[in-house]
Amino acid sequence: MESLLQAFQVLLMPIPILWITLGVIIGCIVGAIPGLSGSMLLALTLPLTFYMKSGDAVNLLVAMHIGAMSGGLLSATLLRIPGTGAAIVTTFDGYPLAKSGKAGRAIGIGIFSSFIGGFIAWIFLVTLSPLLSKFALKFSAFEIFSIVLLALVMIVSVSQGSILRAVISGILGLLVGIPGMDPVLGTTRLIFGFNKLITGFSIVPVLIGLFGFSQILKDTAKVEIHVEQAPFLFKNMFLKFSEIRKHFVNFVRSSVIGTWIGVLPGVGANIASLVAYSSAKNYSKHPELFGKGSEEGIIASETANNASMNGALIPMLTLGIPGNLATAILLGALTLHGLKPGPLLFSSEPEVVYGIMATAFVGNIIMLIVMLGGSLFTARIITIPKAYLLPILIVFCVAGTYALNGQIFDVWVLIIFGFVGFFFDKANIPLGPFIIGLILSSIAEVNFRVSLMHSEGSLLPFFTRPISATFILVSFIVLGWSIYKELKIQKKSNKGK
Amino acid sequence: MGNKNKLFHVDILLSVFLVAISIIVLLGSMNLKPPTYDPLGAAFFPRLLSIVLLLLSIPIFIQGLRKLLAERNEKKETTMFNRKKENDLPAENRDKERPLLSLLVAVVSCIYVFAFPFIGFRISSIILLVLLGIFIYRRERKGKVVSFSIILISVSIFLSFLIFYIFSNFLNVSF
Repeated sequence: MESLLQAFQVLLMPIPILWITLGVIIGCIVGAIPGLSGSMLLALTLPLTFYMKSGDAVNLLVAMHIGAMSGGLLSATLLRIPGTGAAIVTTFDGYPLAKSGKAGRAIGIGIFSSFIGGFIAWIFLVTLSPLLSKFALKFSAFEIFSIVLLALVMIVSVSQGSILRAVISGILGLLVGIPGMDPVLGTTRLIFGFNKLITGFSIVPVLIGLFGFSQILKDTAKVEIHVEQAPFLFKNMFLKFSEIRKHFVNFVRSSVIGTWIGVLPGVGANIASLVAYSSAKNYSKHPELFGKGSEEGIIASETANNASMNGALIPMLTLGIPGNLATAILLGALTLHGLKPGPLLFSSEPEVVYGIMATAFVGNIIMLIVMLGGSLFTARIITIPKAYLLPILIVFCVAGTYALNGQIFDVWVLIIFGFVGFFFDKANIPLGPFIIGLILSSIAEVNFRVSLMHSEGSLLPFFTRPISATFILVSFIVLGWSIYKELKIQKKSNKGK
Repeated sequence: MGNKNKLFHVDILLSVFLVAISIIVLLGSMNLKPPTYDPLGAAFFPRLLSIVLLLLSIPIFIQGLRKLLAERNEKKETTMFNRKKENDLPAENRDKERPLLSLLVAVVSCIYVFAFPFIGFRISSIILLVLLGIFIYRRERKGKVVSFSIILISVSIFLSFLIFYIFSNFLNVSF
């Protein structure tokens, strides 16, 4: 508690507040524009934060993440196009409500729901993280490998499309993390004579290529698609206290669902909002209104997706395992600044950990103010012509990547992974497992090999140590269940034909 | 619509890609030997992953082949005599993906990255912004031509110089 109060004392100064406000504003705008995403923004900003103090860099990135998660609500409501993947479920009821002339109401509900979800999840973040980090300090190489395996299995199981393609994506991500210095022996491998690969593929150009450049290529293919924008009037945006009380159970339930799904390594906000939405519909007195402009539907979706954002910070800070793609990029940012997220960070650099928590709290409040005050302005920006926007983004991708090391090699890595991301999209290969595999490749290999060195080559301790055995058992159950579900669906669709 | 002339499916390309990656990694790890204290060595992980990838490429190839044969065997719904011209199609059918525009953007971007160490960041960025702006505008058709052109050229010059100035003076990047 003392560390958290100290973090707030440091944060509540003009410069940190300025960075957080800037991050939230940029995040809201980018999150609102269809075709751009919070992950893309974080990836593009990452190289620029290299020149900032680590505290300011983290404040900016966390604030951008909060802004982008909330900004997706605007295009989801006004255009029926989610600004971010997490806002897909908001389109179900946000757009119909907006079309009926209540766009201000839909957006206002979404903004307050985002705030409440973020706040409740923050309470979990602050109370659970110290406990989990103490528990994680007991982990040895066996447990760390097992939980990494669980994270990979989780993201494979919940990815869109077939399990087979998700596994392939994860394996490719693990492979991309291999070239360079062997993490145990220190010898070089798979560099094929390119000395620039001695330190491996730099995470920043890979991320910018996959999230930035490939997205630009995809958006370019869709420039003609016309959408009808619902009219936005600044009416009934503010929720009354009686309305918050009326939907209190929905707020709390959706926040808890969002937080716990966010905690699961590799599971994203879109799953959280979908589960919360289904749950709200099941418990609603008027389920027939869902999909036609139900306020309860918007509340469930937006509360859960913002809650999952803080939930995802829990495994990132305590275990060094990203809860979702955005925290995978945040993990990259912390590594770039010489920090290693995990249980040891709590004891070695508590000001960093509690600083992130304090930023999540303050950023949530600033998001509420910015979204309420600036949503009308942002609504104008979301239809900015792509003829201006997309080429500018290419220049930013290239300049940002080049700025990292002054090497043109990094820019070519960006271009190559941009093509890879574009090809993945055409081949229905999900990106999530690739990124998680890339981030966790070194951790997985090191801990597996160190475990076998300790056990003199025996795999038995993975199954006899209780925590490790539990993680591995859960991994098998989750993977087995996902394969079974997929085969069942395939069988049904074959019967239908 | 059937296409008897279709030569490949993206899944077949994917399986070829996976096999190629697996072979490259296996060849690259051939010279890596484990030392005595590490039972697995530097080669274990890449070899394990590439073998699994090679095995997984087989069902992908089979899926691709099945889909390709299914697409070739589908009944043709239009012939060259009754096929509608694109402008006759309803509006929603004209809003479809344009992969060639993506290809154009990709090619221009590669030329930009190749050229900027030689002709400088500012000039190459201005050319890229103007060229791609024109290509995308021709498809998007948002706004009047004259105002679009003025804004495009002004923004291209302003942004290129602004980014150069910020990166050079505040981030100490030498382009």
